[in-house]
Amino acid sequence: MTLPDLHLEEAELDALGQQLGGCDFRGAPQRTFLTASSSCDVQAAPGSGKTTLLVAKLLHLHRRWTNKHSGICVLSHTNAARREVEAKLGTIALSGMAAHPHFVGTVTSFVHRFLALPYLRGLRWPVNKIDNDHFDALATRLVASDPDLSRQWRRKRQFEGFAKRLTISGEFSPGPGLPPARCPIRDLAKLPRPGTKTRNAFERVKGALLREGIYRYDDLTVLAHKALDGCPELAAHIRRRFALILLDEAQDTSDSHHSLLDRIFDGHVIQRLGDCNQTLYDSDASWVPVKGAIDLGTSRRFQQPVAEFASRITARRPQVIAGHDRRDELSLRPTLITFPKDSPHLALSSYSGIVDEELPRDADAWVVSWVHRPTGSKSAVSLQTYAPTYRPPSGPRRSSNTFFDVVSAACHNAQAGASLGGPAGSIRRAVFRLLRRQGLDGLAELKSTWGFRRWLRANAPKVSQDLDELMVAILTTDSAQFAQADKWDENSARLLAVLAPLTGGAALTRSARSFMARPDASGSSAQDVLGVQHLDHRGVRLNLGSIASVKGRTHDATLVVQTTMSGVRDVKTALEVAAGIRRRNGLGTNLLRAVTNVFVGATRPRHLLCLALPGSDLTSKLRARVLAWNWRVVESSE
Amino acid sequence: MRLVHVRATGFRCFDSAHPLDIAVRPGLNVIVGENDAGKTAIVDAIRLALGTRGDSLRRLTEEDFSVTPDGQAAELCISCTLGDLTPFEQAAFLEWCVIEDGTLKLRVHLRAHLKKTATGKARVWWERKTGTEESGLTVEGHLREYLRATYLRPLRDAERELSPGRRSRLAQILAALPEMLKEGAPRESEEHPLTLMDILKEADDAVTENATVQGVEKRVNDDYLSKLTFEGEPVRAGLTLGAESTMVRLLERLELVLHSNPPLPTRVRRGLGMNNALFMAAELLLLQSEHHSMGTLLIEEPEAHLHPQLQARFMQMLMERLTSENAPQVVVTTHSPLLSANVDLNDIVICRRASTYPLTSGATALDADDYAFLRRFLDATKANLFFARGIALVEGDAENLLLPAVAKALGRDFAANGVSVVNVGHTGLFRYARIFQGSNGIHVPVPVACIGDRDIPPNVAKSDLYPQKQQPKRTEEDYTDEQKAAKEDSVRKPEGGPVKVFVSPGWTLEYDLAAGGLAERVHQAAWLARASAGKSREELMNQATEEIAAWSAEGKCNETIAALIYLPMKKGTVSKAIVAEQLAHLIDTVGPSGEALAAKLPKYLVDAIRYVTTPLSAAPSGPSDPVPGAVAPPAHLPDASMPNVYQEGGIE
Repeated sequence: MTLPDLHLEEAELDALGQQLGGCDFRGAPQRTFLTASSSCDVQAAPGSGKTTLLVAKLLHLHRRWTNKHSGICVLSHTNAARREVEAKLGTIALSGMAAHPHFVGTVTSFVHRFLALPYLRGLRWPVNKIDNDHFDALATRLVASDPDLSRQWRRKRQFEGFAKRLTISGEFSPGPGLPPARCPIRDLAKLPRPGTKTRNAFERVKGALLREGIYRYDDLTVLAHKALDGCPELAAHIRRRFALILLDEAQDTSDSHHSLLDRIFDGHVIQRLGDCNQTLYDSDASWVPVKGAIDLGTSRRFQQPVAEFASRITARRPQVIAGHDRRDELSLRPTLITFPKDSPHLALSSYSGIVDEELPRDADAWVVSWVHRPTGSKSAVSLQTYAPTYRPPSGPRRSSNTFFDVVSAACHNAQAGASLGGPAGSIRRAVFRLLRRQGLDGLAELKSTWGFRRWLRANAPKVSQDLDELMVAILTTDSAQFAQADKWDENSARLLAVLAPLTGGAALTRSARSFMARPDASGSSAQDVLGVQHLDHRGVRLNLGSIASVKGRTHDATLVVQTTMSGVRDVKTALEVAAGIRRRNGLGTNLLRAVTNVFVGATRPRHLLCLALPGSDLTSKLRARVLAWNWRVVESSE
Repeated sequence: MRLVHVRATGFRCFDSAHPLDIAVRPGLNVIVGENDAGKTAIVDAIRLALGTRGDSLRRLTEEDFSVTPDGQAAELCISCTLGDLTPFEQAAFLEWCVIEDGTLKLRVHLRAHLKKTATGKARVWWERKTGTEESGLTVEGHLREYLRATYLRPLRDAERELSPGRRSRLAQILAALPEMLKEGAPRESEEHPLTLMDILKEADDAVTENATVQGVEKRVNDDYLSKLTFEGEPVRAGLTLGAESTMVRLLERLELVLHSNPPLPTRVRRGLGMNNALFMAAELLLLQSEHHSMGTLLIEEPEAHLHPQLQARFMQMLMERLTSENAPQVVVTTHSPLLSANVDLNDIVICRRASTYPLTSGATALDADDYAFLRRFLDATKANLFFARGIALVEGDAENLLLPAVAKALGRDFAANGVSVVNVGHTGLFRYARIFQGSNGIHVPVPVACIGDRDIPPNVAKSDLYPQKQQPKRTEEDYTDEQKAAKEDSVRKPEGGPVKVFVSPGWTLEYDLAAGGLAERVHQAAWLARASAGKSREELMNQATEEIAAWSAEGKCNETIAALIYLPMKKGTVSKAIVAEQLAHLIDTVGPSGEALAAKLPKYLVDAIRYVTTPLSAAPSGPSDPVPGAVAPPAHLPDASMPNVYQEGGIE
């Protein structure tokens, strides 16, 4: 399948721009990308309209597309980016572009849909949940209840670490039927060698979770490679299916995904868009645009002063970014706020003062930082140092890892007015898991809760009916009571009584017992779960968050406060790089990370950029350079 | 991509104890069987699982859920396995596939639930998913389109389908033809020929400019419409062909008609059959011009309205199409012996009591020789064996004519029992029988009686009763007991499964009947067959009776008398077939019948008739123990209450 002719006449370019809400695609880089029909890379500066350009390309392709069974594959790193593309596609009534034969989604969902899941279906392995958090919770619990592992209590911490990273080994060859009881796992630093008692125990944990259909994302990547190994034609089929691959957010695509994509699309037309200077997750991402990449260097978000500063700190790949010159927009001088080292909160006071004075009342003002949660080290500085009430939005999600968790979550949902179908389904799934852990005959072959429900109806109609009745009772009348931790013993007895005809009244197995365990009374408070992400300062609402969390967003005003990690001071380092005091190439990993974060933070605001650092960090040389850029320096004090 | 396998359970006659499990061959599949055997249910299962094109929408209803003595099934499931995906299909439908043994396969499952509301109203809820055990994605979008089968329903009103009008099937067919695409738009340039759209536009312009049309238009507007509308809101009517409307509207104006030969000034209304043939031709045309479809064709009873020769032509045309490129996969159901005789035995699947029995080589006891033989000799007169509930395979006209009459007189009417007598002539008796024997122990549950002779003449045939020329070389006394047994064994060899061999212990049917107790009737039939001029039936029959009485008075034994009766047939002075026909008539009109007849018949004949008129139970175990205290029926008497069991020793 070859691509249609993508040549564009002037009038068509204008029409395309009109359709996307008055964009101008007449610039050389835009035009080059829109008409490109071979592989290329696009290095796009912040706010340069990369997503709009991508959507324009899709619109353009859609008009020329005639093939019903071969399409375009649009991949992004996050669901947020996918939704953004889909939303824009939706507004121009282009839903056809998001449906078969095309594909718009994250790399992960692509790998699942076209490689791993067809392969798993062929193996007839169960698939219930693919989620790292869920896996972590269950694996930790299994490790804690394993006779061989729980005895080595000295290594508890280390074992929990392993539990969270148990991935199917690349050397393992899966066979059809049930997953193995002991599944070979990928090597981890300090994990005992294969064949040892401890290693075997971890392999058992992995096997048990596979049999429950619980996977980590990495497992699916391994299985995708297995699918390609086992079905040599598969890659060719995928290439035949997709005439063009558009990879958005290329800088955030992990190395393992890059290598998987390379394996599938070797020599195929793949066009990658991204900004390597915004590579936040550098631990496993290493995309750098090829030489001669299309350069989208003009930002439509900010004006020249911010663009100049941003250009100076493009550390991974130097790029000259130009600001827009729309005269009608409010433009404020970038501001450097200094504060006494022992009163960091003053930085926020000064910032809210400026926002209050210079921006409209309902301005979208943010305070962001590289490090946003305390790291444990006393000297470290995080966002909480500036705003002690700040709480990150519920760390790792508390997933439903015990029966109680499932039931109480279901009760909450039911009380919140959700339809009963969802909550009832999750309770039924939990009962299925419980009975499976109990080692009940006939359950091992069932692949899904759906199958379990059928099995139950066929083999124990009475239990099925009683269970349904109990569930209705739980969800409609006893919700509050069932969700209470201190009533759990009583409630679980009620449930086990219903299930008694199946279990024969036998005592629970160790595994089932751990699943039915009494809930932890020392639960985290609701405040912690919800987090606090904004504060009202002198009548100005300031939103708070990590730089990673505001990636891709546009603010009216942004304050980047200096935080530290492993002794690296991000704002100071970035200013030094910008001032030429520190060379921008050859920065160490941590310095590079710090500068990248400041780059992302500093390129958010439309109108006002502020940076804050302790007065002691601003040397006179640095101050002179900053003033030379025509910045303001504000010293805050009580 | 093609259909490889269909399974169904809980659907219509296929309840959970008798699920449907049928392999579908590439090319042609002809499902044959009596009414109510489940043929239509198989086609419907495929229609539901794959969907159909055209307006033959098929909804699942309460009646589709199987009913057993235990009640109605609450769930039904139909699964289709699709294989032989082309590289293009594997690429296009990848996300619905499963990877198995390094290749991509597609499975489609339809699962439906029957829910009764409190008021007793039934609601059917259903879903189509892919993957192994419905683990995959839902069937939707292009896949749904691609899977759709073309369905030709029986006894269709072809004339209506072919006539112009809203939603006409012909318009749909025409619109789907790839070459029609360019006809819906104005021609590209002056050099190109006019498209359909152009032609209609031109006609429309001409109509609008026609003076009469304009006059009528003016009168409607000025005289009436203007007086019915309000000031400032003028409404004007126009009289046009409506060429600005869509291509589909345009195609709906076309009709497919049969021209007469030589051409007549007015259109002739043609018969239902020709219109049906025309309609099928149109559907086949569509099926083969399309590339965006898997190409499954389901035809129910194509014989409807077609006379025998046209049926044969239709089958030929279909098979010719099947050898061409982009050939569809066809599933045909039929009750026509003629259609079934015209297809390769390999393509036939017998459907009986909700079970299917493919006749593919490997699935039956037939060997390659048998297939070649049957391809030559299995004609329409014999093909009714595919539809029978019991089959008597005989080697001669006499048996063919006599058996039904004898069976009727015994109270076991073949017609009422759905039994066919198939006269195979002189050869291949057992080749036909092997059609019903499965290679893997699963046999077609149809009792098949092979009726044959041991062919050992009695000693009396060598006496001076017979002229030297007519005397057989070897008679009973020339055979040792072992030799006799061996001869009988060789005749019985093909027994197995539903096939039983019934061997005459005597010489030939006529001799056996005469020796058994029907001497008078056989001799009467022979006299009638000879039909001396100027004598009435009564006189001839009386003469025969008198002759036998005379032989008896001479002290001749039964065997001798039987031999004397048989002599003219042996010599060929009377035709065996005519004797048989007369005898059948005599038994029917004069008797004897019932038990009296049974007592006079050779036992093997009674057994054979009993066997083919008693339905086979598919009981897999051996013979059941007789119920204590039950009175066993006399061995000779017909007994309808005892089921046949075709496992070893079951019949005795």
